[in-house]
Amino acid sequence: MHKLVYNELIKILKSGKNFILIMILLLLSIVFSFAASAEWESESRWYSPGGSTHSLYYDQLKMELDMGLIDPEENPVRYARTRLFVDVFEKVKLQAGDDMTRLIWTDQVLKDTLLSSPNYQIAYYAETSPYGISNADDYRWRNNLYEMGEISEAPQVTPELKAKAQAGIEAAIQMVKEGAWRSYYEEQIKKLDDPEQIQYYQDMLAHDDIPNGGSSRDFQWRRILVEGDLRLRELARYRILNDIETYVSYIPEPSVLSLGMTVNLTDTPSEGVSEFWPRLARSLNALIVAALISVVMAAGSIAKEYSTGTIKFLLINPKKRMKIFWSKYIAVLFYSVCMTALCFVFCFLMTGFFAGGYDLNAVFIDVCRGEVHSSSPWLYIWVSMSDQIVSILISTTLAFTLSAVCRNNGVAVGVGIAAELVSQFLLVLGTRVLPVLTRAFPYANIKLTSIRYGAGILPYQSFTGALLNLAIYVGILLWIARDAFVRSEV
Amino acid sequence: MEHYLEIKHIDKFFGKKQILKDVSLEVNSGEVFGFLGPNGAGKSTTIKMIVGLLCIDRGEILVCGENIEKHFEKAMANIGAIVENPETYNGLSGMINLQMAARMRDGVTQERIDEVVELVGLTKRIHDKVKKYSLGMKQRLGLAQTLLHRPKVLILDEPTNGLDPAGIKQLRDILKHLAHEEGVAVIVSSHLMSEMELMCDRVGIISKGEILMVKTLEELKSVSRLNTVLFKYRLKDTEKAKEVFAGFEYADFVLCEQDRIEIRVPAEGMEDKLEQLNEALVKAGCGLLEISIPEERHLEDVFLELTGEGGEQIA
Repeated sequence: MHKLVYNELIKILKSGKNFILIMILLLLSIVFSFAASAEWESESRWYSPGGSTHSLYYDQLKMELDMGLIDPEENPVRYARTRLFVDVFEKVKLQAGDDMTRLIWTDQVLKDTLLSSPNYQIAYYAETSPYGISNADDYRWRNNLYEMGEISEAPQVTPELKAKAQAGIEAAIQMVKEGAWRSYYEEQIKKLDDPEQIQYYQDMLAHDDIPNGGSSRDFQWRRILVEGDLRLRELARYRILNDIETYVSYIPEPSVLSLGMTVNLTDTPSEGVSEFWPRLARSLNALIVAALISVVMAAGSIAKEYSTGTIKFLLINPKKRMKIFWSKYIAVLFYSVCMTALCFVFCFLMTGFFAGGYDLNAVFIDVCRGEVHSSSPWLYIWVSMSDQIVSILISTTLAFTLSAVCRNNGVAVGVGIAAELVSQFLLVLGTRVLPVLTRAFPYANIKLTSIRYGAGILPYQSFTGALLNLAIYVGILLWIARDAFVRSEV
Repeated sequence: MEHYLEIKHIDKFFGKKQILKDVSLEVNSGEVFGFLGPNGAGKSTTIKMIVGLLCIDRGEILVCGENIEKHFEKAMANIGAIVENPETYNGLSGMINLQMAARMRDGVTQERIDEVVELVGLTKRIHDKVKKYSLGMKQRLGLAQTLLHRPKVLILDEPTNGLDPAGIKQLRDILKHLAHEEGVAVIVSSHLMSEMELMCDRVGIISKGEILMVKTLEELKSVSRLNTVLFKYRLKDTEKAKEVFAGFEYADFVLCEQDRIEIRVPAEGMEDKLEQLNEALVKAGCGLLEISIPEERHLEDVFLELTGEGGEQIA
């Protein structure tokens, strides 16, 4: 078997195409690394690299302060909090990185401050709408209530309030499970002040107008209830009205509400914070190139043998077709791993080059659910890479299957690349239209890390479930491919 | 003599169309077997079934006693084959192609590879990429691939394609040597009848999916529908000669023009009849200048006669 795999690898590695593809990978890795660095050095360097929404929030608060819209006498807590946010933002150059649940810095002083004192408490954000792509996505930020405050100053929520909120959310979930759409309307009517809107819901009730599956209205009521959107809005309003910090205490299980509550705090180079690692994380967007290259090679793996006729050479050897099939798949996977590793090495070297050094002793501080942990930055990079690797595995297997079934290189390359590129778009579309069915879609499950941290993009997503989903897809694809290959008549 | 390849009553269907009908064949060790048939007769289909590229709908194929479907790996270990064209990886060098082929088999050493390269005469160009090879060189490389593991059954589809006359002779010598000296069962399919005539010990003719006959070359040539022998005369007076020939019932005119006459004489008692004819011609004073020796019947004639497909549509 190992000899067969070796043969397959020779075919892949010694083909002229391979050389060109590696050159493309190298070139694009440089481009991505350079782009990651150039972005950093731009004027808005402490703003969110993913877009301007983060900075917009900062801009808004700053404007509110500057224009004296918040009266410190009348509303002291709100003023203090806004002031603090703006100060912290400016001081540590608050920044949303690729992954909103991570932060990195090496400045020991800042780190110690963070770990030991509650004064510079990390910002929390309570997510009111979890239907966004969890990483570096504007959508998430736009829909977040962004809160920041000193813990010592924030009044704690009472156990009663907490219990009430929790019960409300559980009731909402129950409502959706039972399809109790009437309760939703009733809930709305109780809550609303606008007589027109109340009339609307009363009409719906009167006409037994059930929200249909797939319709936007159906989506709306389920979404609002399942995600506790209703409760959170209420609480948010309550919070704003009463200036009470309540967020930490009544964040329920993340798998239900998928609440994120940490923010990337990364300092600029001048303040001694690692610039290498966050840049590297962004350079690693180049992994998409490794994914595309893997897809191209997987697509050719079987189809090319047919189009050049070498399949006959291959099959008239005293080796069972099954062995030949698995040797091909193993070789393709091995190649994908090599390309990913190569891409990583290129990005690593180039990022260091553009950043002017390799900050290998940096400490990675992970803030998750209000707790601060420090660990190796390699872990941070691994986490940001791992989802991409899962995605490569799925797309490569898909292209490989098409290669075996259609025996057509063009089709396999086309669909494989389309899957890699369009899947995210389809996913966002799916989460808005049919969130429950979309969960079965493999690309909804590739962000295993986010799902494990309870920040999945769909309701009720679990790590085991996602893993199982992916395993089933890979299994089915390989079963189809193997069957097509073993039975084919040449 | 051992049967290295046994094909027993195989049928093959593509959809509803029956491509092979009850095909049976045996090929023995130490012989070069020619597999003949017009385009679309089922030659390639049969060969593909022998090497397991197509499944067998009915019947069985044994290679050195091993059933090709039940014991694929054991059976295939005895076969070396080129199906349709020599298929090689064009982006790789000849040597890497051979090394890859060697890895698919057990016990093929680098020495053996070098030996085979030497045998097919590719030593000088073996490290070039295959895409720079001529068709003849690819044929040689394909042959080398099949010979690496010293197969007991060697199957070659159109092996002389693209070879120059010297290459063809060399191939012929190699195949004859393998069959006659090393006891390999060699199966060659070709359209070049003259080649097959020089190369094969036994031929099988297939047409429209059925085996028409399997005979040694000698047997085959003697088979004839008319069973007559052709003689060519050159005479001064063809008119008078025609009258003479008309007097003999058994002399069958084929051609008569200017100073030439061709007649067919039954093979049975041919010599007596020829004597009578010649005597009569001389007596009549036709001015007999030349009589040609009867031409040997070529495989091609037999082939066309049997398959009846000289330029017909493919079945």
